[in-house]
This record gives sequence, C-alpha cells and structure tokens, in this order.
Amino acid sequence: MSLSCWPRCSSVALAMATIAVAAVLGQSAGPQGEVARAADPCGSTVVYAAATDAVFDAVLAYVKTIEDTLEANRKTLQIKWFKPKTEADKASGVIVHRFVIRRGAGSAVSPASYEVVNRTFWVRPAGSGRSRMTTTIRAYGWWDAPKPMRPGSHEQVYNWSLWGCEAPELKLAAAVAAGAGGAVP
Amino acid sequence: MNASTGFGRLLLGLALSLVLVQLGSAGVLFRLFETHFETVPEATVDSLRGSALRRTFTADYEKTWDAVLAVLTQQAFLVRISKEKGRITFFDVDGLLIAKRFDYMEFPYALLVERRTTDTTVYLLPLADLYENQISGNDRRKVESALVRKGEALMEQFEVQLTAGDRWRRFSDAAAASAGR
Repeated sequence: MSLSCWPRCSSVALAMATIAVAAVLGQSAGPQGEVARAADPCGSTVVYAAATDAVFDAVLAYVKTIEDTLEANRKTLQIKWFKPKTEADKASGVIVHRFVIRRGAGSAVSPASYEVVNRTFWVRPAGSGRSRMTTTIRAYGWWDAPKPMRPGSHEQVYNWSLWGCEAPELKLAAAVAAGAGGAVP
Repeated sequence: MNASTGFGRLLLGLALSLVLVQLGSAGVLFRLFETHFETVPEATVDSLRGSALRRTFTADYEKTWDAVLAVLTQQAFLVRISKEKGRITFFDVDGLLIAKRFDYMEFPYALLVERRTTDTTVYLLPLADLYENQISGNDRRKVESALVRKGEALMEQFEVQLTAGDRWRRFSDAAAASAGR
C-alpha cells in the first residue's frame, strides 16, 4: 500500500459506498481531492528605511486590511466563508497570517473547494535603522469530492498566492513610507 | 441486456469506483487546517529533548534561530512560534510523486532551539500522535518513518542555511549588495 493510500485503502468498500451515497444525494463525499499547492511564488525581500518595530506594527495593521479586501470581494471570488487567523511573535519579527477559504462550485475552473493560504512576514534589522522584510507564501487546497483536476485548477491556487503577495507588498510599502520611511530601492 | 453485458458493466462500475477512490487522495489532517490548528497539542520540553531527531550546530542561538526560520518560513505553516522559549510548532505540506501521480502529505512537528555553552542544539519532534484514529497498523509505521525522513531532511536544510553564507561567501556578498545591505 503506498503512502497515497492511507485515507482510503483501509476501507475501500466503505469509500465506494460513500461515493455511491454522495452521488445519489448529489453532495460531496468530504474534502478529499487535494489538488495543488503553490510554494513561495514571490518570496520577496524588501528593505525599508524604518525601524523594525515600525515595520512590524505596519504589517500587523495591514493584515486586517487583507481581511477587509477578502470580505469586500466575497462575491467576485465566490467565497462562501473564510476564517482568518494571525499569529505574531515580536521577538522573532514573525507575523503569520493564514486564512481558510471555502468557495462554492460554479466557476469555470473550480468545483467547491477549500483553500488554505498561509503568508509569513519576517521583519528583522538590516543595520543603519533599516529593516528587511521577507514575505513567503504557502498555499494548499483541495476539492470537495474526489474527481480529476480540471484544466486551470493549479492556477486557481497559484493565483491566490500571487493575489496575497503582490498587492499587499505595494500597499505595505506605501503604509510604511507614510509612517516611518519608505522602501529602499 | 444479457448476462455477460451486465457483468461487464458491473466490472466497469467497480473499476471506475476504484479509480475515483484512487483520485481522492487527500491530506489526512485537513480538519486541523479548518480549525487553525487549535487542537494541536503543545509538546513538552522533556519530550522534545528526548527526540532522536536532534543536531548541534557550531553557531550562537541568534544565527541558529534565524537559519531555522529562513527554512521554515519558506516550507511550513507556522502554527505557534516563540523566540523567547525557542519553540516552533509547524506543519510542512509536501508533495510526493507516487506511481506517476502527485500526492500530498502533512508533516507536523514541534521544534526546540536550545542554547548551549558555545553552540546551539535543535530538537525536532514529529507529532505522529496526530495521526492516531486516522490511520493504523502498517500505514501508521509508514507515516512515522516518513516523518523521520522528512525531519532529517529539514535538519540538513537548517545546516546548509546556517553554513552556506560562509561557505560561498561571494554569492552571499552579492546577494547582500543587491538587497541593499
């Protein structure tokens, strides 16, 4: 039995029955069909002319606006619900912002899905009152029902990563520039 | 419909069901993502110190902590982190190519970075108990073995991260210059 077999091979008969019942009821059999994960598509590092504390605080404040943006675009992005969570450790200069997104079926490339987007901001001193911030992304998603990937499925999760990476970077640079200093070219 | 056609359709249906089951590969621990890992227990310091996955680095605490973070921020979902305590709980989600098909697995760990007199030790504890009630028997042993292998690979990456800057100075100098350091 391969590693890929754990969730189901121990009880193939049960899984088959589940699929049959799900088909009859027209519902999914639970989150099983994981599809894609995009690792660090941007992985950017920016140096700011500001103290580490100031950048750290700006990021924390900015994270809230990401949630507001998601809320405002809920319909366009076909979001049924999302659960955001922020973890911060000031001593490390690390902020983890993670959200689980539940989306409905119906888009050209997506059946109903769960997507987990995990962004890490790591702010640390870069000397001479400057700070260096590295942003990394880990995204992970799966479809509700076991089914083959549709064309474009990988791009769907990948786009989340880009969406969570590029736009906030620009806005954060502006926020830091307005408060304590700008991004160093 | 004659008997042979009926039997053929039954076989086809059975084969299709098996294919669907095979395609339905998923992370076993996905429910932890949904609850933001709140149910992931905090490993005790004693259990961390008892882990066989450990490595001592000839570097101070700061450098070691930064090397660990540099690797984990790129690879893992950080669940809990405290530099003061030297503790990180994280999940790596990695893809495995099995039988020409990409599959995924969650690798949950607790990590402790501990100062010593002149160097620093990193302990890595696979949180295999999270798989309890999810899988059992031979599969459980495969999971535990995979967790150890992945842990060893992470330790290698910590070491490379820690030493690469000195080993390939010309590259790190160029990177520092381009980053405005």
